[in-house]
Amino acid sequence: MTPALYDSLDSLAQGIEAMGSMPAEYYQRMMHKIPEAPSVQRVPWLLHRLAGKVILDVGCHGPLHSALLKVCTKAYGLDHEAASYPDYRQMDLESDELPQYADVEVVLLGEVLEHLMSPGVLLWQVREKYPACAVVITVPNAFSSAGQAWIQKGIEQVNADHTAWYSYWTLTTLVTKCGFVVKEWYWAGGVQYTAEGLLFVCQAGEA
Amino acid sequence: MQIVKQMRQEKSGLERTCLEHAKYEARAGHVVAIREPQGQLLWGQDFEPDVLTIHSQMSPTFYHEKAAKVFICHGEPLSSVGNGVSFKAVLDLAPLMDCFICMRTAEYPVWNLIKRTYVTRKGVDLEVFTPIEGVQKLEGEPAILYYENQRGVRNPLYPLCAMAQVWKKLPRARLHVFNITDQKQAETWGTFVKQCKLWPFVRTLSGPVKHADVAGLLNRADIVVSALYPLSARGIEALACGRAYVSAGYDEPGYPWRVPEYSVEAFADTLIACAENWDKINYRTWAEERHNEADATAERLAIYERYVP
Repeated sequence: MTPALYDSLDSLAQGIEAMGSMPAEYYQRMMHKIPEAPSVQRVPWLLHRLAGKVILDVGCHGPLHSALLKVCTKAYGLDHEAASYPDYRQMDLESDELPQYADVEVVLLGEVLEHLMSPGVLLWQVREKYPACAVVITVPNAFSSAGQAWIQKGIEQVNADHTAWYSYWTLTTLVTKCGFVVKEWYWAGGVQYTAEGLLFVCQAGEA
Repeated sequence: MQIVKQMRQEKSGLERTCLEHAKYEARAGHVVAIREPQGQLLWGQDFEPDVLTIHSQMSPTFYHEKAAKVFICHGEPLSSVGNGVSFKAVLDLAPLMDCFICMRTAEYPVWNLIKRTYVTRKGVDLEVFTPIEGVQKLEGEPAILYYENQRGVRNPLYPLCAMAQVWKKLPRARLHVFNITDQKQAETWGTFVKQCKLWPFVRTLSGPVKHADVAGLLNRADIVVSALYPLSARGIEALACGRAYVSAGYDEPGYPWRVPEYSVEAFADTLIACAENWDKINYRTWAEERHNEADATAERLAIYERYVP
């Protein structure tokens, strides 16, 4: 049974008003209302939220992982580069099998999905190996104000290794297709809609 | 009763009326849902209906449904013929319906030729459209408002022309035209006002008005003028807001400000008469007695019940 699109007559009326003169089919397929969400600072939020936890930091190489090692009970790390972190494993996130650590409480995918050719494959592995864990995902926001001035000059401001841009809608669609439910989400670094990034807290849904 | 309403998601008066019907039928204790003809459930639960009310189109999946099928005549018949598709669509749907319901006596002879037709009053949601204290009035004594969604011959040409005569008699009278949604219309009226020097009394030419803002806008005027003709049933929300309503198409017996013929002179004479005798009736009371959606809903429900299997 498909639930109703609107939960009240008022919201139905507002939805139709927002459509303007667009055909309903086009509007429903292409236009997506972004729910209200607060904006946070990414690194302080992560350090506060993950403090005292046992985490698996996927794509960990960088200063954030060093900071997390100081506040987490334990921080396993995975990345493709050689590194000397404790509890670190060098691996190819695209093709190697994800290790399974029994004591992990939270899986962190911080600024990693946008580097991958097949982010869904990694998310499927996380869901399979860590079904009971919270999964924290951060990505750059496709509609960030940061690059808008440059694009007007014909310059795309993006990490040269990135393969994708994510928005609230596309990241929600990706994680949902991979079997997760979005439990919380935030804008990261800036004001809503045009913040630098997105921060999702997900949980594996029912199989 | 369990009532499913079939309605397209499309911004229109039809949609507004359908939502009002749903609100008041649910309030009367019935289970109501709104579904698109294409099948998407828009509001309410998924259930087997006793009654299907059709608001322009019906899903083929309901063709052989045992439920009572009632076609609600939102559009007036002349416009239905005029737009080239609606009248034929009604003719095609008619054999599948148990009856029609229209909201104006003048439409009855047309619809009843096609299918057994009942007439109910045209209701207004008196909770939404209500007098509001303390709103900032539009300029003018009287302040006259035109806010219809312009389409084809439904446009403010005659009220604009009539205002030239009204202004000679009532120099402080002002006209405000809102809800101009089309750029060409905006350019047309802008040029008309400038070229013909109507600016002393035409004080507003403004764009779209959100539905949520309509009641507030109506409350800012003294008189709301409609150019709909001949079978108008729209704009009467003004009465519920306690404002005078001047229209050539509103033919409720006893209403003093019906424009007697569709001419510039008749609009001017009626606007002047209305301004000079504005408090001849209590407009809110008029709406409560004749256009209460709760009463209209009771009339509709009694009709549905006749056809529930």
